[in-house]
Amino acid sequence: MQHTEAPLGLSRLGRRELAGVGAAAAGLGLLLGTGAVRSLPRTETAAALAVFFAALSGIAKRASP
Amino acid sequence: MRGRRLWTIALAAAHAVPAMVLWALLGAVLAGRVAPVAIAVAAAVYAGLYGAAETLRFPVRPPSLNWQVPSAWVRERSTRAKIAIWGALLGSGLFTRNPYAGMWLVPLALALVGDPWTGALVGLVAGGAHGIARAFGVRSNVRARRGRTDIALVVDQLRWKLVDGLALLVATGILVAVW
Repeated sequence: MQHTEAPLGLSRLGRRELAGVGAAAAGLGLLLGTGAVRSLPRTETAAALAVFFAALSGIAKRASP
Repeated sequence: MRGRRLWTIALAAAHAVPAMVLWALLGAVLAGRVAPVAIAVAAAVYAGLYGAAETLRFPVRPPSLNWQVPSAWVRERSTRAKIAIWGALLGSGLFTRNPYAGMWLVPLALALVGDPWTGALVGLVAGGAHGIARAFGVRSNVRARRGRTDIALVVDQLRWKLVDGLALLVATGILVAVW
């Protein structure tokens, strides 16, 4: 199996293991989205996603040449 | 010390203000125009595909402009002019190359906000968040990059792509569950 160097504490995981981590992330999103008990409000969820990804992209671009 | 603080504030303002204006306009234009379910499906498919690609390190390039600020635009200019030019062009994250797919979830999320006024408000906050984060990235790069190799930058970028990919997968789950 091809191994991929993946920092962030997920070092030397293969694609299969990374797929497991990714599926867990999507599952966490489903769990958050259903709010375990009742659904999250749509406008606030959209607003939170927009602000979160804008901030993440701004931070991550420090690693751009 | 005071000069450095002023420089940081000027840098943050130069990046944040144009980004806030631009993203507020985009939020007003995009919010509440198209059926939310259609946008949510598009956003979930986009986040799922690019999230999986970034997490699994598939060589898929996210949609991005390849343009970079021409050096002639900043060469032989005053420091103030340079900060203003860099801030206006880099602050919004829309005009220059972006290796992370998460950025294009922002307009899709803005389109999911219920009405144009709320969209403008959310765009204002998102633009400010991106601009300020970008400004601090520029500042830390100026300090940290001295002596750093390109390999270190590539490794940093791989790390951030993994973070972005996992965040996109979480977003996919949220979009599927909420809409």
